[in-house]
Amino acid sequence: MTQPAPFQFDPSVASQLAMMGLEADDFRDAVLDANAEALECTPNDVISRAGFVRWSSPLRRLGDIYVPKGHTRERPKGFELLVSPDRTFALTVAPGDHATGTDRMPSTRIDRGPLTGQAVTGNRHQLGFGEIDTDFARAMEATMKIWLLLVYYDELNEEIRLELSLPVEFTRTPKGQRGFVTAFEPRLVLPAISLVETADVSNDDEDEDGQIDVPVARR
Amino acid sequence: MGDFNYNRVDLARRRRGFTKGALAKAVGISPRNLNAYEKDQQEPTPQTVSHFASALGFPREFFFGPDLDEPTPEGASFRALSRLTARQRDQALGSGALALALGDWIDEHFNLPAPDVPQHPGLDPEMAADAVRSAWGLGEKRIPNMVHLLEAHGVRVFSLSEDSTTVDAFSFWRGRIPYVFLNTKKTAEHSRMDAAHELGHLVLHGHGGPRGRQAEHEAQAFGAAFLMPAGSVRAEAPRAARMPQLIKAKGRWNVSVANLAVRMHRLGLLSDWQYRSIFIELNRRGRANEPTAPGKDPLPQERSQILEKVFRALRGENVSKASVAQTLHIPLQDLNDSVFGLVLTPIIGTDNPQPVPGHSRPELRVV
Repeated sequence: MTQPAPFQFDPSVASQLAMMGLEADDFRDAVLDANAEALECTPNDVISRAGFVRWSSPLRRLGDIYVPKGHTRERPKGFELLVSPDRTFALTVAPGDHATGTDRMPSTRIDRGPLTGQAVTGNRHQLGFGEIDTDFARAMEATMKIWLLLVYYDELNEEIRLELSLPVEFTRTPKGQRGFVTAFEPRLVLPAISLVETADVSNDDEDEDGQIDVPVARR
Repeated sequence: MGDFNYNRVDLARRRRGFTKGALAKAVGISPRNLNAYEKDQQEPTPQTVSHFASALGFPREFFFGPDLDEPTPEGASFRALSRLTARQRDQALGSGALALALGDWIDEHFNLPAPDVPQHPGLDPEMAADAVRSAWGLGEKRIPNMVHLLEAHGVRVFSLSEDSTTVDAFSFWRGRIPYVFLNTKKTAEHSRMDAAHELGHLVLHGHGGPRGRQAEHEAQAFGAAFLMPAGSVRAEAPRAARMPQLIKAKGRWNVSVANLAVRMHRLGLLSDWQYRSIFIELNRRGRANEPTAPGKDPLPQERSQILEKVFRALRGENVSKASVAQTLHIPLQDLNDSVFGLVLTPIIGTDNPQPVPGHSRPELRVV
């Protein structure tokens, strides 16, 4: 299998984010803080805590940054959202798959509940496809798009890739209402965060892994 | 070459552990003559300078030029203060001064990581250790190499090759750059704790902070918390542990059995009785003999990655360690003592090392 090529950071992404009142650095800080928090987990934590922290903490950090600027943290029917001051968009955080932040179309890494499916329906309606057909989509107002901040922890390449993307396709699993978001448009791919640069010594084990590379360069 | 500088003679004297009287005797001059040189009332003859050189084992060029920057006893943190003699301290500080000269030369020719050591004067050592771990993104994870971690955050780390077991390590801030000196004659586990201890001084007692017994206790508490975060010890240290379990468990943090036992006792994971039994057993074995788990090799001594990369790069430019020593007018052995005894393959044609051109600002070829 060929490795997907990483995106070059498109400067226009920064301007698109700016038009939404957002900054790429805020997403970077939120994800890095969550990663640091996850690293504090010990074997006494429940096994899923590190993963939960990586998913949930960025939203909390983004709330800390943006609520003072007029955004609101809302939970319609338990759907965790950060809503923009003009209520034209909201965002939430989801684990993405390996294609996150690359030139391939990503997908959510784990299946999501029916509220995500309804959010996708709402997004499609605003893009001119289909009708709003659920109470939830109506509740979220006909003009509000719901974005996902997809985050992927690439242990092999020692980096975190992330993108703020608008979900437009929800593929249901054979059973029930759950499913994966399988298409996004547009995708605002943010710069990947190198874990090597931060002198991280994460993946510890009994072996001599997690070695630190100290940069030394000739003047 | 600059003017004769008695301060350099005095630095070399202290580095070699000579008293003034012993130096005068070795050189064949009277203490009054030495005093006159010191007070700049008299200039030594070229022959006397050569005698200084042979008595002290320094090239005669070393005694000419401006003062070298030296760490001061007030500015450096030493452990085991009560057992440390002034002579041992001065020898170690003299070694520090020579290492600073080398460090300045390296800084002039290489880009190294910028200093990034948080300052938390007055903070509880346990909290300060947590804060530094958090700032450096370490969480509760094991630190595979303390020297490399310090270097990655802009600390300049040099070795001390003191025969005295009393000098473990010392550290100080010089402007915005933190320095740590480690005695390489200790076990690897001991040196790791020394490095974490010295980081504690840099964080807690930074620029001109308190010194003395209390400061040493705080730095030791910081070092223990930094190498063995409470959460990971509570989660992973064995319960009701005796010596064999501790020997096996210490590899989780790469610390000594003694350090792990102290930490576990402090966290309430060893009873007083267990704690006492372990130390009786350790004393019986001899504290210099760090026990290793069956089938495991002793932990290798940590070394500077920066110095290794620097000398590797220089070797690629046909510049040997001896050339650098000659450029700085420092005896090769003293330079070796500061660089963890790094052994690099000699380059053909450098048996008679040429000084790097231009004393004050050597120009090395960039390959």
